[in-house]
Amino acid sequence: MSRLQFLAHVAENKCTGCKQCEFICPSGAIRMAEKRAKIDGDRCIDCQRCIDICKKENAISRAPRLSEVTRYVDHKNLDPEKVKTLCEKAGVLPDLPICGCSRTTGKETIAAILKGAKTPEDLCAMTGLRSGCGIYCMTKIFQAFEACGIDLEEPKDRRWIKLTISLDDLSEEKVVQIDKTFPQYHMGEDWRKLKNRAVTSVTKGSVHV
Amino acid sequence: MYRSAINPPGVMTSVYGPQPKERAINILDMVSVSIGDLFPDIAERIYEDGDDPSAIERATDQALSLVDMGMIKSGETVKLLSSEHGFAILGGQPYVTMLKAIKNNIQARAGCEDVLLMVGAYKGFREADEVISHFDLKRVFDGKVYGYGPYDKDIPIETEIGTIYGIKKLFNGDWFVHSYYDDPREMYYHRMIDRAFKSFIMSYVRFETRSVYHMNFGNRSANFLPRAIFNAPSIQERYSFSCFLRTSPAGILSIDADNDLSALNERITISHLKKYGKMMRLFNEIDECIALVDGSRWGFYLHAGGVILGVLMNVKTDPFDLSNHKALGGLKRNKKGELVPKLINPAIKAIVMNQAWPGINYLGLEDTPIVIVGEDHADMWKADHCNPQIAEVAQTATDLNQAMDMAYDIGMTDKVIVFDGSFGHVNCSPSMARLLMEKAPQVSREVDEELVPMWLEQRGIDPQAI
Ligand code: SF4
Ligand code: SF4
Repeated sequence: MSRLQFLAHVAENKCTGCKQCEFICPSGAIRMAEKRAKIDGDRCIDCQRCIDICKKENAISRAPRLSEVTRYVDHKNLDPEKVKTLCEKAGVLPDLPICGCSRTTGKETIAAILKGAKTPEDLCAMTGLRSGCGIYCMTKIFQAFEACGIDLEEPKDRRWIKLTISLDDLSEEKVVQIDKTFPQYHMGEDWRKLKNRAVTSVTKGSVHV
Repeated sequence: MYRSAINPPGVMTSVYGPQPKERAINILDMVSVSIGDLFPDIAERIYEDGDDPSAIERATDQALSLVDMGMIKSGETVKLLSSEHGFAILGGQPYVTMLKAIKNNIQARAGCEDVLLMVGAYKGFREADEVISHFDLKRVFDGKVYGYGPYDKDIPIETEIGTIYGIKKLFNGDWFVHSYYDDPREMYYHRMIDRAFKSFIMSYVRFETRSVYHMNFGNRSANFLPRAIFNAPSIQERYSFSCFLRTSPAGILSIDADNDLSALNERITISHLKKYGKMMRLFNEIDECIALVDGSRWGFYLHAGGVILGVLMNVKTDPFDLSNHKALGGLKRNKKGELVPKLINPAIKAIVMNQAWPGINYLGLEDTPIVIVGEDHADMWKADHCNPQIAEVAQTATDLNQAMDMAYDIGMTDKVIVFDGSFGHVNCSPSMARLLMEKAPQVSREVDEELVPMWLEQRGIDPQAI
């Protein structure tokens, strides 16, 4: 969930149309029209990355919204068993935020996909994911789509790369080999804990905390 | 009687955070306790804030004299890969001095003129430019200085556990130098395993790869990833040598260089366990305190006696004990029913933010009272989507004196520890100084006699052999 009091605003007379901001926007809120950046306020999540990347002084800035808006997807009217199963498949815990910043939980992430998010950008616009650091939740976003059966097509400009490699993907043979050479990583112990977890818990992902 | 509080390193001007109006030690009655007084056996250093940086230059020359640079030919391109926090350690001058000296050594010994400095950023697109301008790096590196960050163009790296994505511009020269520091930051979270490799999974890679490191492995097993990246053939083909700014709680310990990164890594592990281990266990003895965050970049990473605030927040378990699989003490449910890491040290009764940059997540702050100094500063924090919980819990004070009065009332303690970027000493209240001095001898014995041997063995290092 994200509570938003601001959004990005473009000064059209200053924007050079360089598209840098469009590339970096996590919520797909920026489109180029007539060689100028245009902001879709219904998608903007106030991450300020566009302001940071823009090299043209004051071309894009932060403006107050008329009133605070909340980006949150309710999971209550969805089948809780289905949400739970998809969370398990995605390697997220239903009640654990997949993002330390926006604190969007596993079940909210899955709910957003079930309610129509087709791309990471849609998901961010709906939930506020990536409004903070924008970095650490990325792989969980990909895993959530994968679990829901959506095969994401990577953008040609490489604004994101679908990377989901995890401890769960390692073969037992590989884990044993790593354990032998580098016991300090406790690779086997972490791997077995992951493989042996109860169904209510993680099946792909971490045992980090 | 304790010494007067000591001026902390300066704060760089930035678009990412405000300048502090007043540094804490100038307006509060603080004292300083030196690392030498606490732990005489870990007091050695070659540099502390304000010293002549030529000692760093000489140490770099000496360390590099033992390194093979024979692989570098004149006419080739060498990239010095630097990382963000180095420019914040003791104001950044020691790291910059080391980087300059590496360049001079390569040019002199290999006859190679094309030495480029790559300046790493955490995530902001202006961070590198600010660093370059603050330290006048364009002039020093003859214009051959470039910023890089986690959103830059990728390069696939084939590792033994699959393809991951690095930053292309770092790995497309003939050679690179791993020009790093021993990263005395979140030692709890990465469990003091392979600190020397860490930038191969953070600075030098794309944001998706950083995400995998944090989210898809255990806190111990994740540390295999940077080693796997370092060992990838495409990385090894370009790797020349490593040169490190070595630190201890006392300050800059040395410059260490080696072609063999594993050997360098082992030296760092031994030193960190012995030296930072003492400070960490000492911080664990703090029964109650107000943590005062006083100026520089991201507050979570600000040092007091070389140890960051993030460590104080997490010292209630022994993070160096690898038999414990948890780094953050597990999870708990908050009032909203969400699972959140159970990590904040209950000894922290309040946090006062005199100045720090927002933009990095402080896990587990929701139950900790926070007072922010200044309306403008508070507005930045409250609008920071990395920390929505701060907006929920923080109070605002007009100035630092008022903030401290509020914190004393809330925390019911006069023990204050100032995170102001200091190494070599801890600036703190007299009551905190007393506590630290009282506890240090026992901590020292326990770390030397019980913990260090266990920590070393757990990392495959024979305690008898060192
Ligand atoms: S980055 Fe700035 S100048 Fe470029 S398109 Fe966006 S607003 Fe316009
Ligand atoms: S979501 Fe972020 S990058 Fe996109 S328009 Fe809003 S502030 Fe700019």
